[in-house]
Amino acid sequence: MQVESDVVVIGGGMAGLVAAAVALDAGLSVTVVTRGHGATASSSGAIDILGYLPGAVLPVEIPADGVHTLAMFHPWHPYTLIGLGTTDAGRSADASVAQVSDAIDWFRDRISSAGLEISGSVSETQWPVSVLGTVKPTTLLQSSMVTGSMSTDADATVLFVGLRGLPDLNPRAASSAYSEWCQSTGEGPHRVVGTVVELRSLSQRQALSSIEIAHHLDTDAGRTELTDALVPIVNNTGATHVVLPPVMGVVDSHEARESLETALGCRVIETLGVPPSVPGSRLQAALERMVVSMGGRLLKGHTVQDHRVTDGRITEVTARSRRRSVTVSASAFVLATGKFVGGGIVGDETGLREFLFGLPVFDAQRYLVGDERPSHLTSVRSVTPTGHRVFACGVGTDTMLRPVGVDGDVVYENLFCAGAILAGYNYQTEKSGLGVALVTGHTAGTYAARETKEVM
Amino acid sequence: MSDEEEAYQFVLGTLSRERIVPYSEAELPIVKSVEQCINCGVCLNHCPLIPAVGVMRFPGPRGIAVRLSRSPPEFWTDADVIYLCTGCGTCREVCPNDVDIPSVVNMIRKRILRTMPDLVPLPLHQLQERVREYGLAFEPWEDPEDKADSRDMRLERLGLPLFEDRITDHAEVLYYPGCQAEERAQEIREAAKVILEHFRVDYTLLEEMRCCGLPLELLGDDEQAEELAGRLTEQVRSLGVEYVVTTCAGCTSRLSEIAVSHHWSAKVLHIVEYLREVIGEERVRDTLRAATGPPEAVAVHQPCHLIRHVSRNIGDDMEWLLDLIAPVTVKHSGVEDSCCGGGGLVNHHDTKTSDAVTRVNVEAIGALGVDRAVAPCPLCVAQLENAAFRAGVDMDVEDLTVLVAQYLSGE
Ligand SMILES: Cc1cc2nc3c(=O)[nH]c(=O)nc-3n(C[C@H](O)[C@H](O)[C@H](O)COP(=O)(O)OP(=O)(O)OC[C@H]3O[C@@H](n4cnc5c(N)ncnc54)[C@H](O)[C@@H]3O)c2cc1C
Ligand code: SF4
Ligand code: SF4
Repeated sequence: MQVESDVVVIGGGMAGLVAAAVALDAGLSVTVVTRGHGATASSSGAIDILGYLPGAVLPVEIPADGVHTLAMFHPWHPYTLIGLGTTDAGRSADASVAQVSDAIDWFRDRISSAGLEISGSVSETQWPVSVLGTVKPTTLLQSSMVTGSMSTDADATVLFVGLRGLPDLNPRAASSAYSEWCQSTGEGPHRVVGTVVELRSLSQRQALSSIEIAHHLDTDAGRTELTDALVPIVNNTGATHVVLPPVMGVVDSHEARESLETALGCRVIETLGVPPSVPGSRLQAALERMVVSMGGRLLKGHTVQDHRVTDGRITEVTARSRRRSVTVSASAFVLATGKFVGGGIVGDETGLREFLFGLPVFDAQRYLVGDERPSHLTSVRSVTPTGHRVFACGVGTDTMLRPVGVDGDVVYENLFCAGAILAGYNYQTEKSGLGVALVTGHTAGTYAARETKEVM
Repeated sequence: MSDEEEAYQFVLGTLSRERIVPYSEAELPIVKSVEQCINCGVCLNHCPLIPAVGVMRFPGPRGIAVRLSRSPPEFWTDADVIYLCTGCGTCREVCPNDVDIPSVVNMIRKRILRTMPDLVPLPLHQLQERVREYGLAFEPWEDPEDKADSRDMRLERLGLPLFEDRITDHAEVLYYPGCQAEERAQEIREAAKVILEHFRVDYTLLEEMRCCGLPLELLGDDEQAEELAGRLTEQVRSLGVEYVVTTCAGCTSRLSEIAVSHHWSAKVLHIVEYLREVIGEERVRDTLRAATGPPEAVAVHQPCHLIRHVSRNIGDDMEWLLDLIAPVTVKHSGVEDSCCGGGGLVNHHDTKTSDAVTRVNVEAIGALGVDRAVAPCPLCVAQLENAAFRAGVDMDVEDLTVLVAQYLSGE
């Protein structure tokens, strides 16, 4: 089967779907070919733009400033590269910040149309709570996770709620961890308590998964059960903020939050997701809806295995599903196949490879690492501020995000890379995973659209 | 017998006393795929059984992957969960590493059937017997006249003409209706003929229709399934057809699989694919342009055995086809690609569970207030229809092939 499209995006995680939506915005026809879910669906659901500068132990307080500093001192970082792609080195740090900020504004708007409310901006770091009761710096939150006054109000009473049968959140451990954090920063509520409640109609099930509770809380009956169980406890404790595990609805956490808050008369907050992450799936689903509702063609369950090149340009890719194969031709292509979870970069004892085009793999400093055994790119200490080198490895690009070979020359004129497949940043230590995917997806989509229009 | 071979036979004997069935060559890639499981649980968030029955009752695809890594495999302890899987393939589709859970399920069912048949649900034994006896998944009509009467009544209700069966040995296309359209939903078989006649396709039916073997694969009887596959392969070869056209989702995926494993030169296509790819977009558009009738709103259901076991593209083909029919407006339920609950033979032994899965579809389609829902698969149609009836939801479900035939023949 043969189809045509203006732009083809390979990979349907944050980076690929954002790139697709940008190209759709430009009025082009777009096909996204994607195999399974990647890291985006497993993420906590919070979009980190930049939590820490590389190697730093103190968090970034204003992401815009962080990106600016980064763009001055880390030449191979994707945020730096995209700034350099639009202006000369003297002003590129400002350009990087502007591009990050534009991508966020564009995204907040588009994803909201697809039914997911996101809040936050480059001017402030947010501090959501995890299921362990710890907090982490991030930039954009699903509105259900916004802690608001909870982290600053000394008079607040925070109630961590566990659900019987669901092991993900232990309210006793979470409340004491959160309380310790408040004490260590000298800010935030003085009173933090925990409780376990049971959902009536699920009481027969001794073991529950977050997804079945999320489905339950998508119904009025489910929400009523939860509020019935919580009202007496909220009244007894005088809780002003209720913290729930990440189960606030499969599709729409906003509606669940509003309805629970009305019934309980206090703030209700969802923690960050843990794999299998409901908020991660929610984000993935919203991204897919965004692309489909804009008229994009989303070909799931297809693995791109082959491509054709003419004069340094990719002309078509061939993807296989279980029992069919389809060839899609286009003027521009976006490579957003992720890293180790997505499958864009694969490693074994012989080294690291880019799966599809056999592109060379570099580390954060642009050293070629393709032949390095992946275990040699890890450090014996599991948690360090610099992290493991292996997580910063990926495809190297020019400032227009086109992949380069070992000689530094662009390999394909019309292929643009985005997301976790890129080398040059360590999402684990920087806390920048979905942010880099969003921003580079936005940039790659823009370039791919421009490329297509030039050819037309 | 050489020493080596003798030793091998001895080990096999020991294994069989221990009720261990060694993995076959064909099963190795499936087992290896499970080694790729990273335990992320993404599949859990999408398996239709989890919201339907919960992880207590069904541990989900990840649970199945984990079970397989037990050593030595004591599959008999899995009988209480392994027959609940609908084989929809949603887990495999979202899995980052292509872990082939539906095939793992078939593999485990095969071992249970061989080593502890008592644990196989009774209706599955009955199904196995039926296929053995009649070569069909449904008991055939005793009286051919009753069968014809039933068919004629259906055609009259739907306003479809009846064409004589074509059986030749030199056609370009073999139309393979599958057991359900052959014995029960005969209107689908006739509707397909209407379409093929309309486009003047040189086609034939089989002299004697036999099951594609999918139900046997699903209950673990791969030996009998293989027999049927071999027989069909001979028929397809001797007919020398270029295409095998189907109307059932399960047959499409099963025959596509056999076509590869048995090196058919004939190409297997669902009739929706056949219309778009072989008859051609232009010809179909020109023909359907003439379709008239009162406007109707239609909801679509995409069968797992087409979109997840064959290709997502078929979902697109369905939309394309319906868009060509002027009176039809497609309305989207948002769950068109969600498993209907009828697969994996679950509906044979546990309608409560399969209906719990179908509830999602029935509720969403019911809320749309459409004139009818369509699916290009007799199994999905029957499951949606029955589950809607049992849930007290008023809903008309029709096969997509029938809908197209109706518009072609002027309703
Ligand atoms: C457990 C976990 C938690 C995380 N939590 C956070 C967090 O809280 N906040 C944050 O900001 N970041 C987080 N990250 C990082 C972040 O999720 C990733 O950096 C980001 O999702 C990468 O997005 P992507 O689109 O580049 O790749 P992915 O989301 O991995 O998508 C790649 C896609 O490409 C497809 N693909 C691959 N190869 C092919 C092929 N050959 N043909 C077709 N399709 C193909 C894959 O199937 C997949 O759909 C987390 C990561 C992990 C693993
Ligand atoms: S095939 Fe379907 S029902 Fe079976 S485990 Fe996978 S998702 Fe669940
Ligand atoms: S999605 Fe795949 S890798 Fe993840 S737990 Fe399920 S089977 Fe394992």
